[in-house]
Amino acid sequence: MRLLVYITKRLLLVIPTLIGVSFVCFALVRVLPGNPVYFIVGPYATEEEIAKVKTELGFDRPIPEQYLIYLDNVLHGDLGYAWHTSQPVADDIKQRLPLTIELATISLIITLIVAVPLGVISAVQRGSWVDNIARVVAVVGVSMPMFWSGLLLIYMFFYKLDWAPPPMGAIDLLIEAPPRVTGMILLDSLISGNWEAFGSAISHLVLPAITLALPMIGSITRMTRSSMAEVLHSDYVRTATAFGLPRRTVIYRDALQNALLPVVTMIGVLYGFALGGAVLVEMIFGLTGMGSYSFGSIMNLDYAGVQGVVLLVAIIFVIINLLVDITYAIIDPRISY
Amino acid sequence: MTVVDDVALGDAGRPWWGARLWKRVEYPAYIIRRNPVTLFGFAVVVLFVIVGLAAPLLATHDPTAVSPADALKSPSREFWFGTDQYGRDVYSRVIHATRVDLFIALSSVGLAFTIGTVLGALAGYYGGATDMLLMRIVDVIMAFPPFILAMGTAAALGAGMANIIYVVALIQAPIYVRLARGEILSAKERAYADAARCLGNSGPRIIFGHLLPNCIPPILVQVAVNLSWAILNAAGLSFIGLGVRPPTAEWGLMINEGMSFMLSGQLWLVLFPGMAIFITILGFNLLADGLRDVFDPRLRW
Amino acid sequence: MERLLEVKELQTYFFLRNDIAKAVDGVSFWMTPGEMVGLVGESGSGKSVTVLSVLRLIQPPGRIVSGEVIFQGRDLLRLPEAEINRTIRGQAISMVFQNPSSCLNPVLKVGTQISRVYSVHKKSSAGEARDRALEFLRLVQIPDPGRVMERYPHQLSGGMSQRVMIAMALICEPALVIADEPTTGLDVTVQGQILDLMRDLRHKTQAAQLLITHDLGVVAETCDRVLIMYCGKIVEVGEVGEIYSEPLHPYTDALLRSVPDVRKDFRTTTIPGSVPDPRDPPSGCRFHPRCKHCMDVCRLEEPLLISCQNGRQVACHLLEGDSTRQNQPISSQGEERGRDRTF
Repeated sequence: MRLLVYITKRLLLVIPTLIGVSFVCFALVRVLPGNPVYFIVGPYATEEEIAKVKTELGFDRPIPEQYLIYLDNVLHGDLGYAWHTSQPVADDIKQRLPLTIELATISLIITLIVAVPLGVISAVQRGSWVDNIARVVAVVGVSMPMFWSGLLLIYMFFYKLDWAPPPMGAIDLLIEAPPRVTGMILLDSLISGNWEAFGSAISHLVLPAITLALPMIGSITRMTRSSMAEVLHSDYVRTATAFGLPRRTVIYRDALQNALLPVVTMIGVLYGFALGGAVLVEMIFGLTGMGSYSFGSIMNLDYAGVQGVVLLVAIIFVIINLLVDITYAIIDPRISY
Repeated sequence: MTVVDDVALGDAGRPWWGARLWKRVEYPAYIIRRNPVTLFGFAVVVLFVIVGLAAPLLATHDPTAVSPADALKSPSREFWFGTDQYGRDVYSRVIHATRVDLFIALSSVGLAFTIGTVLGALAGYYGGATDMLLMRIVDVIMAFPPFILAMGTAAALGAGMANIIYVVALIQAPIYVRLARGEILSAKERAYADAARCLGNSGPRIIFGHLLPNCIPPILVQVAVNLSWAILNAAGLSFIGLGVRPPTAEWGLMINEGMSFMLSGQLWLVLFPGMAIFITILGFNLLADGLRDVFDPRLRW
Repeated sequence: MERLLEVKELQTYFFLRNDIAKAVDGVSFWMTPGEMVGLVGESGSGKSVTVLSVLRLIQPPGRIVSGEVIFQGRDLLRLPEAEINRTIRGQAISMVFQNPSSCLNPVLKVGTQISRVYSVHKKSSAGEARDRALEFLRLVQIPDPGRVMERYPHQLSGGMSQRVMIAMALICEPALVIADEPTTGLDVTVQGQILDLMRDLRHKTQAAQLLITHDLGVVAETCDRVLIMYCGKIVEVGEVGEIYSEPLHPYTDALLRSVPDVRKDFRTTTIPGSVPDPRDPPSGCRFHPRCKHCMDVCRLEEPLLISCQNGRQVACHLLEGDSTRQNQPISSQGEERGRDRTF
């Protein structure tokens, strides 16, 4: 019960932030330099069309009123019209969002599976060869730009070794895509039992997911390592050892539980990174998610699309961070609610 | 400082101008020397700065000189890194791009650091409504995934060097605001702050003359890390077309331009600019790690 | 009586980047079952390092360089780590640290942490361990132990945390309990309570106690014997009453004089100079730069710890060759002390 109250409180606190976010997105389109109408209508419009859009969209009204109109639109699901796809932005996003979420989530899972154990072993066996390799991998992962590593992976695994499929799309062009249930291709093919599609989808998602995961693995490995190292030197670990508790218990129960707490808080940040990085990765691998959509919008000077993506991604990010905070409050007994 | 003081400090034999500075620098210099990895990072950063500053001297060709006859040549003695589809020498472009990225990195981090630290310090020290307002603004900025915000802002402002600097500064500034504010908040409770107040120092003087100088170390490590982020973000933005405009040579932009040729075997267009980014960022990260060790009291035995 | 613990020439050094800090440099002492011994010294004298060495809790850059720690007939320094963990730590010898709040795992309930010490060592069931934990929480006078077991460490006060630690230390009925400054960092009133508790427990359990402190008053109230340490070495050993009335070593004497005396308007005498750096200790007797009675030989030769009668031991050149002199107080102060100290 107290938990529900806490959750409600946090939800309420998030609202001002969301309002701020919406205001920033509004400002990005309307207030900043550049003719906002062009952003909506595109560079090929005629004078009359421009004038019509101006009144239609209320650009002749004062800014605060425009903001309220914008907010009203957004809350009704109207994110504008993307002339380069001839669809409302909201529809475009609905189509493409699941793939990006899928990609980001898979990358995150890969990251946690690889980086956390690596960081822990690294800290426990400081100075060993595992530790040294882990440190090298970590710093290299963090230092490689995603758009470069992705391209290199394609070059190596597709062009040279022919192991990976061509970087075009999430599924082989010749295979029939599964019927759309969630929009996430892996889930959809599982749901419809289409193993061929599932296999193809996996092979298409492997390299993009790894590319996206690499910097995150680097970051989390380092973080886990330093958190674990710090905990291993703490008073309570020393005390547990002084009481003769077996080394294994001390490491994997006491130390690990404490060391992983900061990692949980990072999950939100990582997700934000993954969503941002998805722009680059989708572009390189030809995936039709929100990232490549925003890229396409930019190339076509169709700014309604970009701003729609920015707004939505920000909202998702805020929600994810909220979930992470609540989860953390539950698992750390020192936080009261 | 008198000669007697110098001798008393045991500095006889050190350069006279470096006596006091040497004491401060000695330990970090030791850490850098002792750990070869940190030394490597430091060397890379120095190399980056030198190449950036001396770019015209180090390039072999004019980076913007188009030469269709030489298009898409693989690395050779004449064109060390090969040429791109317009016949421009990739090596020279990479060298000149160093200068561009150096400038962007320093400007954006400088801007973010200055404004962010000052605002954060003021908010932390004076508290109250300004503090709350500033923190709300910071919260809103940090509510966006950094690259997404950069993308949106760059799209709104338009591409170009100046805009990219503002954008990259914007996404970093909140970090400095929070860092400075946090440091000031804890510092202002300490005794030396009270002492300064008792001596009649005014607010700003206390902040900038007394409190901030003691908070600098963790902020410095952040600067080293942020310099590499700035380059990464700038290159990323240029890669998607929202950064520096062609024909300026920029590492991310070069990768974008060379992307389509990779699968016909012309890897050098993508390989070398990317390698430049990678090594530079690696250098900054290794250096930042080393600096972190310097300022970590636990390792100081 | 057979000795419970015998430490012989223990040397624990810390290998720093340019120096070696000889934190414990040739320390020898013993304890008999059931007795309460105080280990006194200033910060940096090596008291904590000594007891950490006994339990082999020294981490790099520190290392136990040589010596013997004979406990119940076995040399602890020569046993494999796994065996020390299994049979000695928490079971035969327990330790209570300072800052009890940071010694408990923040994410585990207090009850879990106490019970598992018992269940791990005695291979008992969870239920048994829990009952035992409750029993010992009552023993350390914690009210409403059932509720406390369900608490998390951050919800306990300093005093409560220390009681919990003491319960943990006693739960397997060890032969020796080492308390490293157990009251430092606690409120003064709570300090008194904890000390009373420890004195009380001494009668209830059979455990010997080694109490480390820099507070002479605490030792006077609670201990049978006291060991005085200075700069990595033991300089005086003896029964509390005797040492306090007739200190033999100049350092002990100076320590006693530095305690504010109510009867003398809180006047104190500080010891001139400062505690030496363990990386670069003075030559010869380590106390010689600060000693009023410093002779030439003190600068050159380290005094050995020699036994006088009654189990008294001193390491001082003043009394060497005078073991026949039998506890002769330091001559120039004899009368003064006799006047002032009515013991």
